[in-house]
Amino acid sequence: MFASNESLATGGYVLPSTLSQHYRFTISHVLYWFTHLTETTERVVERDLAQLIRVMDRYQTKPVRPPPPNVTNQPYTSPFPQSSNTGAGGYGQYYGNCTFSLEPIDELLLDFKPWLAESRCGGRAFRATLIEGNQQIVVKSWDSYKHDSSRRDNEVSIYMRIQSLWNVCVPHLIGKGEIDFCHSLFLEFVKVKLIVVEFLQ
Amino acid sequence: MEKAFAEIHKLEVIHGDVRAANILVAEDESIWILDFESAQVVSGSRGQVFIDGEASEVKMLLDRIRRGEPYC
Repeated sequence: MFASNESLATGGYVLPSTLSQHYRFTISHVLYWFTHLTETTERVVERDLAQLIRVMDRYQTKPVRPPPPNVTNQPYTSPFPQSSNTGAGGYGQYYGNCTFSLEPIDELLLDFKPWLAESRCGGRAFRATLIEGNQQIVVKSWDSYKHDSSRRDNEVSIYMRIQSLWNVCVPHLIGKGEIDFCHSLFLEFVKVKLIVVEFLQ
Repeated sequence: MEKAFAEIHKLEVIHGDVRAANILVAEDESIWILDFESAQVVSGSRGQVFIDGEASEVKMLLDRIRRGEPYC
């Protein structure tokens, strides 16, 4: 999974507003902010051999953080049954005009900006847009530095078990995958009813 | 909401984290259940307890609201 280039190429020096509120601080905010900075900053090139050696020495003396578990490029596994989507109970009956496939896909382009406050849907959930079809979805992510994929996989298996309730009282499961260092699953976006409360004096 | 959970329980799934934050009211006023991270599949006799018994997750949530306890 990849965020769209557009989401990383927004100009300017963007600090997520939620970073200033320590109680809403997440590692994801900082890492995506760093990603944004690296995209907008010119590359540093070593000018001479001495500088290169200094860089190498620094690399050798500093402890190197081990890579997180499960961040290797694993083949994408579709949570959907590998059969025709035209049968009863199949995936296609709910999304007649969608372009999703039951076949595993290597990548899905998302416009995903988790550092924006308006993208947050509470907890681990963020709003995103599928580039293809411009459809709004919800991305639920688990930090792979803290969690293995078992929580995500359990939730996917539960969604598959209650497939008959998709679009009835449970959001439609679109898929699962890895976004950077996060185990993620993708759900249909449900527009909520706005309730206006008037306070009487 | 009870209907929605009853349907989920019929499929031998217990949600495990019923609270207001995991229940949405959509624009058409339909009820949507979210967040199955803590859900479990219960089968056989243990499942029947959740399907037939009234000591359901929803009832526990409503009791908490009535008692004025936090439920989010």
